[in-house]
Amino acid sequence: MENEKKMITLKSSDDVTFEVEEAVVLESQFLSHLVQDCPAPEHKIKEVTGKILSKVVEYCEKHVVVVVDGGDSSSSSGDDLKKWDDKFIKEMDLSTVYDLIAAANYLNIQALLDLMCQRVADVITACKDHKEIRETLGIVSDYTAEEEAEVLKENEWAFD
Amino acid sequence: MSLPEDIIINILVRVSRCHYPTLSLVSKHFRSLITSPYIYTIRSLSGCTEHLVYVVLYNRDNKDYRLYTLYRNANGKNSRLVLIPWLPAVPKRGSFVAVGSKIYVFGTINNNDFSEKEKKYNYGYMPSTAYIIDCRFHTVEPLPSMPHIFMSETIAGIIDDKIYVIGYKYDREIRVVVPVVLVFNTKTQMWDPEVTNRDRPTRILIRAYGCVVMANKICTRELEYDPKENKWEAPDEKLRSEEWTYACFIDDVLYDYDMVENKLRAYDSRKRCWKTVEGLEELLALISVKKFFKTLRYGERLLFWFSIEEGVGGAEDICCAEISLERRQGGQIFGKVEWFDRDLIAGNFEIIKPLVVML
Repeated sequence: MENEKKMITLKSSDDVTFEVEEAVVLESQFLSHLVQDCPAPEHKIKEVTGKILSKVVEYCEKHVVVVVDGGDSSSSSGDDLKKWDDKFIKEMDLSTVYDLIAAANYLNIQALLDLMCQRVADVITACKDHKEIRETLGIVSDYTAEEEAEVLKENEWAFD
Repeated sequence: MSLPEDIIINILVRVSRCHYPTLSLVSKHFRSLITSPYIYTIRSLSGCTEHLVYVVLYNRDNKDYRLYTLYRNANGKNSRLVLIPWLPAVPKRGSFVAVGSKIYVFGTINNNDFSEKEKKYNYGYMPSTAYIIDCRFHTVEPLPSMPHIFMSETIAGIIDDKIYVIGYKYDREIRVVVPVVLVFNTKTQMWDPEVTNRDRPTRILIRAYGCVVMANKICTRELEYDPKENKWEAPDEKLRSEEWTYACFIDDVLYDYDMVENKLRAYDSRKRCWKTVEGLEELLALISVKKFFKTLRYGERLLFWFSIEEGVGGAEDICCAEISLERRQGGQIFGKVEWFDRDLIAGNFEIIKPLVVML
């Protein structure tokens, strides 16, 4: 009986469907509550597109906690998972990262949210100066030239 | 970037603190986030704190002791020691203890106006100073003044939230120099009332900065102080058998650089024996100036500071290596250089005291 896995269908905003095991859905706090409160076989997630939902499902399937025979719960070993995460975020463009942040935030998947934030942090770290950070993240500076000069002076000690 | 505030914070806590000066130039919003204490709370709550290294350097040209921070590049090139310009000069022969994000500084006010003779005559009268450097914002907060004034070098270490500052003073009644232990409680931010100890040794050799905290005791090669019993003890004979000085203690092992043999030696406090850390031959072959070196515990790793002389009598390069330590079966200890960089600062400097803070 325990071996029989309950399947749940998730439908994206653009009607792409994903059939996943219940355990995968439980990675998301939001979906856990949804599945509990409303035992329908299919759930529409209006806020997330198929493209992004496929990434979310891929992530959750990899990270799902499996209960092994001994009763210990474990996911894939830490090192493997870390390598998988690195590959998952590598080369991912920022607009996908932002969409995934929004999705992880909405679906309440903390680990995915943290991973995506880490990706943005890595992008920031790779920038050579504040101008490149602005450009990369699409931030418009709200400093006047005078203000910026002052903050530059304040932080001058730290720069080469 | 039109992300919610908590997401932006989640991102910024994952950026190394070394990049915060750059981040503050991005926008007013970024600047307000990273200059608030809140971001450091979140760094800590989300497990994003990092070890950051600070070093007290002595500038031989202007005779100043000041605090620098190490900016590391992951590729091991172009790392550098950066002066935090607005912080005051730290006391020469001061004691420095890193606790969380703060550095406690204890010492005597540098006063170069006194002649050596006057200083000698003024034993016990040089004004003392005690303060905290908050490394989050590089600000200085004064501490209650020390209940005693030390004659010269002090050593200090922290055990269970209490900092023990040990030095000597001249006891006018009995006319001898005696060791004194002052206890600063970091929780209450107050000095504990002094407990006199009759058994204190009449002679104690304190080498500036040369102490480690081992098995809840403040240890130097010559003497150990046990705060729980308020007792002075002679160190283990075996531990004393090597002339260790600027050591650090990691995972039951004391590490120290042996100048004579040019090797990193290790004292296993459980097995009570000395051994040589293996696998560092290439790194150690670089060392030509053997006067200035320091070891520092950096998480489970060791930071080894030393200088390299460029040609005979030439300028000295300040170098640092991060060494991971592996204990193999049979008790051997292998060191692996995980990161190394040299020429960390231009000028004529001496490494006084490296410190690691959590930010």
